[in-house]
Amino acid sequence: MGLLKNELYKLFKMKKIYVFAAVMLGITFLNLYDYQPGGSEMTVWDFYYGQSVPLSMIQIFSQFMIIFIPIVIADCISNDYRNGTLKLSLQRPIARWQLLSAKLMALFAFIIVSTVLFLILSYTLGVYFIGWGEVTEYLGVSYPPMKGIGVTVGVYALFMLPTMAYGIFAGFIAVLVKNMSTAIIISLVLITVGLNLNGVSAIAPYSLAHHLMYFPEELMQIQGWSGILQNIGVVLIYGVLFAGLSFWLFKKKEILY
Amino acid sequence: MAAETLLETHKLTKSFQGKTIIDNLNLNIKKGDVYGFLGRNGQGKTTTIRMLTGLIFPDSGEVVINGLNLRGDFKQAISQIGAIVENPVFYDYLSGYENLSLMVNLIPGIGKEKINEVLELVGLTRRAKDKVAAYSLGMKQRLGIANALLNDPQLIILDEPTNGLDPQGMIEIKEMILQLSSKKEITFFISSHLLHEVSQICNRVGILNDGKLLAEGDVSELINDSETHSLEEAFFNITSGGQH
Repeated sequence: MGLLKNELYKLFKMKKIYVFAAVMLGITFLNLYDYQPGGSEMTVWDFYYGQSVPLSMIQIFSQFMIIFIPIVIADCISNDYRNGTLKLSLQRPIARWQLLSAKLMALFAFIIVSTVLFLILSYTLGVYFIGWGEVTEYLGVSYPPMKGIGVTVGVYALFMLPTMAYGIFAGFIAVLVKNMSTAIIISLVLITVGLNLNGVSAIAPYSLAHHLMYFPEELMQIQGWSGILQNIGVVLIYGVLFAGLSFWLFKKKEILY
Repeated sequence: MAAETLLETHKLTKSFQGKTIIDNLNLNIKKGDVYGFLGRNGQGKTTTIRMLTGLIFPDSGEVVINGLNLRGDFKQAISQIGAIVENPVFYDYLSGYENLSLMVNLIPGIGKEKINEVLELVGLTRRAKDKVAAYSLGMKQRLGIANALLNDPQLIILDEPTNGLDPQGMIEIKEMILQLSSKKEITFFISSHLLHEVSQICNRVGILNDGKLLAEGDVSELINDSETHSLEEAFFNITSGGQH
């Protein structure tokens, strides 16, 4: 418990966390500022009501997370290693797996807080600029407001699964390399390659990058449990595989800084 | 009656990229010692300290702290020591007090009051709430010692504790070590290449050269045995194989 408390304390003391929140606010604001529902201007958006903003913008949130997660976890692991501060904790009576678990849990806390924050931001700005409206629109279906809120929260909750798997993958890279910038670049390059392969239908169902963009959308559209379980299974395999590799590597890692 | 052994290594060996850095090292530090671990730069002192604190793993051999094997009984063994490895580094965006609070969270059975106690001991109470980024090297060294004292260790390991300090800072650190040794009966293991400094505060030394322990014993014995008049002369005599 003390370890998790420490990791959370350090995380939320970092200025960059608040910069991320400001970036999310700014970009969401800019997207909605000039948006006219049903207007003739060229836009990627096609929703009519403010309550639809969170679901319509989930891929923007996904892109935020693709960038923020490697930065946060690389700071927690690679930077801690490179700065020599990792040894402060490792010279105390704790096991290495406990320390790495605490760092990953702190990352999950960051993901949860970011998700809640983006939900609040996008609802607030959507209502402010467009008004609440009559229904929540998502993937061509209209939901009455209360059900719409339920669907929105459910979709964002589901989205945390591939986001956390991506966090574990980025954590593995952070354990593997010796400095923060290398860890961030490798994670971003690999996920960008993955995103570019999303068009290859033979690869897409097994790609973490694909699930990072389309996981909730597909779960809402897939008919039947086997497809749903397959998608969840793929994401869980990524999470378990990279968590296992991270713990194994971290246990053996020699602390040279 | 011979003093009890607090820290010992048995045939400790470590290689990096095929080069043997530490070769069959057998150290023996007794309770109450202020032990100087001497060697020129690059001889393996910090590598040894990293193995003594579990940060890196020996290829063979073992570290035993107060009868506990570091590998097998890590949590109990590491609880007996406090250490500063290489430089005293902390989270510089946090205050000295906050840094120590983080460490207190990881030590069972101690409370926040311990932080004020150790800060008082090292003379940092007045600057405790300042961010570490604003600390001088001497203050960071003192904060490092405060951190090492948090768990009431029997042994404190310091890696070149006066490196980079001004003369006043060096005197303060040496006085602090002697005070803690006499008043709190803490054993010290201090690596250094500054022979004069070691001769002022240590009662026993080990001399490391090319990863091998060439000599170990009381400072006075080493000087007598090597038929020299000072630790400096004894060191050069031993490391040059009697050519000096």
